[in-house]
Amino acid sequence: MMKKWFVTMMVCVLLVFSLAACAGKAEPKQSDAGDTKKAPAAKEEKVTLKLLQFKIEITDKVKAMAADYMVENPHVILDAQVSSDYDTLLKTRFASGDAPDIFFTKAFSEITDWSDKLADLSNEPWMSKVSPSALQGMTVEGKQLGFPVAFEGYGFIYNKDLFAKAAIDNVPTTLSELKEVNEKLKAAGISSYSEGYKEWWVLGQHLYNLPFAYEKDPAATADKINKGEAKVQDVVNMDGFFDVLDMTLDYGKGVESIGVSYDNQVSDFSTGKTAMMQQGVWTIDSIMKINKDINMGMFAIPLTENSEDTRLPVGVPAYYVLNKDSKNLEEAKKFLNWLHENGQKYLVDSFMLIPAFSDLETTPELGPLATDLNAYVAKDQTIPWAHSFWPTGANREFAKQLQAYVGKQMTKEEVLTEVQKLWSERVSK
Amino acid sequence: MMTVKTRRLLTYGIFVAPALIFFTIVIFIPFLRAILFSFQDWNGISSDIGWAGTSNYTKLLNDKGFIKSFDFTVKFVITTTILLNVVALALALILNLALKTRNILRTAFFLPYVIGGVIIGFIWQFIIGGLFPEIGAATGWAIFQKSWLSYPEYSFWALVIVTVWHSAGYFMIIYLAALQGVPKDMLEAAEIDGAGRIQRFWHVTLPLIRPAMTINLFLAISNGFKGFDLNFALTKGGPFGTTESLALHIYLEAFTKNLFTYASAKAVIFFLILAAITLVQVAVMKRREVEM
Repeated sequence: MMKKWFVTMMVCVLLVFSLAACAGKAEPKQSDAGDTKKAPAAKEEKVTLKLLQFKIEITDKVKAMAADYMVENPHVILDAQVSSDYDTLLKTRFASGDAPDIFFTKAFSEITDWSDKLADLSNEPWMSKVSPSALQGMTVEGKQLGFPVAFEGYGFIYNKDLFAKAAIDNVPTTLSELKEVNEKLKAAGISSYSEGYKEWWVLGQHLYNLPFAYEKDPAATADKINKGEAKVQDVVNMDGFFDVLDMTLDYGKGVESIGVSYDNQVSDFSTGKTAMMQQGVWTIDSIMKINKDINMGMFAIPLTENSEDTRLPVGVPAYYVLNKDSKNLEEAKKFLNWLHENGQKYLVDSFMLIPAFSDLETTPELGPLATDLNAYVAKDQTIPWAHSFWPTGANREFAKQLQAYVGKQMTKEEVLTEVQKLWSERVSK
Repeated sequence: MMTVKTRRLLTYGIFVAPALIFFTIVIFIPFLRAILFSFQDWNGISSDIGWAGTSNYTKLLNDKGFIKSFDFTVKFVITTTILLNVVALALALILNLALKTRNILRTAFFLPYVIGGVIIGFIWQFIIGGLFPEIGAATGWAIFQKSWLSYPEYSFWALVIVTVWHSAGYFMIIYLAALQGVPKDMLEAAEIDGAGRIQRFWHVTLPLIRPAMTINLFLAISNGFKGFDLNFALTKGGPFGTTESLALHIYLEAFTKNLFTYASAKAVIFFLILAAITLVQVAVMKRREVEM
């Protein structure tokens, strides 16, 4: 009996130690940061700025930027961390009292959720240079809270060589032109799409954003749905959205699209297996890595028969925001100021982002997708990322319903009813 | 002068203290905090936390998403528990024979268990997405021509297969250890008494390895219920949320929808269900174990 008890106890101890070992991995970093903060303080006044952000594809470049900043400002230690599981990490860091001084938030709903922890940046010198379309997403109760990192946009990215092979001269600007393009590609034996509908954001966020973004006043529509004065079914271009969705299935992988991941989608397009994909400027690196000679462009996805309606969704993927309870708030503000002054060097040339400041320039080095995006911005043919007005996290739930539509488990009407129900539930919470 | 009794108590305390302290800090306090959260109203971000009473629990009763993922999880647990134990026992029986290659085989079967779940998920994503269609094209078998991760049924079986492949080796080791503890003289005695292979297995070996079965069933059930990484990496809960395990569901609820306290309520209910099931299982199995 005693022996059994002892074994049980040993197992518990081992279990606890293995758990402690897991937790231990994260801890040294924190204590490191703490030590560096204390130790140099004895010599001179050193401040540590903790920066946390997503966009892991530019991790090295962010660290290089931080290193440059520390060389120019020897009294600052800029501890830059880039994480892919960002939302979880950020909340954990706040909960454990190790909140970063500078971090990323997304536009609209998310920045509103965080707003009572954020410093007001309205009077910062760079604020007047922010492009107007980047302002709305970070304004909460009249205060500007964010530093826009970039503009991003998405549409149908297309392979110009394959389009030429199918004798397509112009990019489509209406629904029927899009259909025609697809027919021509089919006649030429080229598959149009291999859409990554396994990813909730490809389907439930980017594509489903379109009907909401094409509303005359997307914010007002979302507000009406929030208040129960309008329904999802009332969104004018919902039919157009389903027409486009159907096309991506009929001229693509059909039901099996829900098993296609983002990687599959990008690799099929890059290797010339498909002529189009619904994606954005962020895919440029991945495409170039697979096929650097690809001849491509991007066009806005039409939902109507009127070509003047057709616009490209452009948004700010992330804003740098400052923790208002940070001890080093002034230093953090100085950093943002510096980042704006050196924006061309870091944001554009190094991070390869399309700048959301009027005094920074988009360069040809950013590639063909950025050039096409810029053309839409210059002509003011843009629509917002209206999915930011949806209740937080609703995008994933909407995606499931749309996946069920793709998998022929639900009809269009059922999807809309379900989406409306999910939306009302979230609002009435 | 310390009495023997106090000295014993002290030794006892010193040995138990580290475990107890870790257990309290890492498991017990967060656990209590989660119970407290489940009666509160908080989005995981804002500075003020309100009270919600029992509203999180009442809302839970009508939560279709929760019930759906519970349903999936139960099916998953039943299937994997049966398959894991059958496969692992079969492997253990084979590798308990005097095979020349048995040490290599034991290592080979155990190896997948050493790889982390998320990595396994990614590897199998390539196998299922890339290799299966190739097999399908080469052999013409319809089952491999479909994109497995696009259909709910196939996704479910993809998860089951990968789970069994992943963990069977570990369960096999436990069974092997038990099989080697079965005394040879008993088996010989049974043989002399005229018992055949199957009878010997059924009436001698099986009762003697019951303790291993208790452990393996317990592990299979609780691991199955807590499954997260494979669902996260292989199917992402899809297609359309049909393979969303309870743990994944709760995680998504808390960290993507910012329904932190509601997710805590779900976690508490999840804990109660899991605790009830495993306690009953262990109690029932214990009673059937044979003392030597």
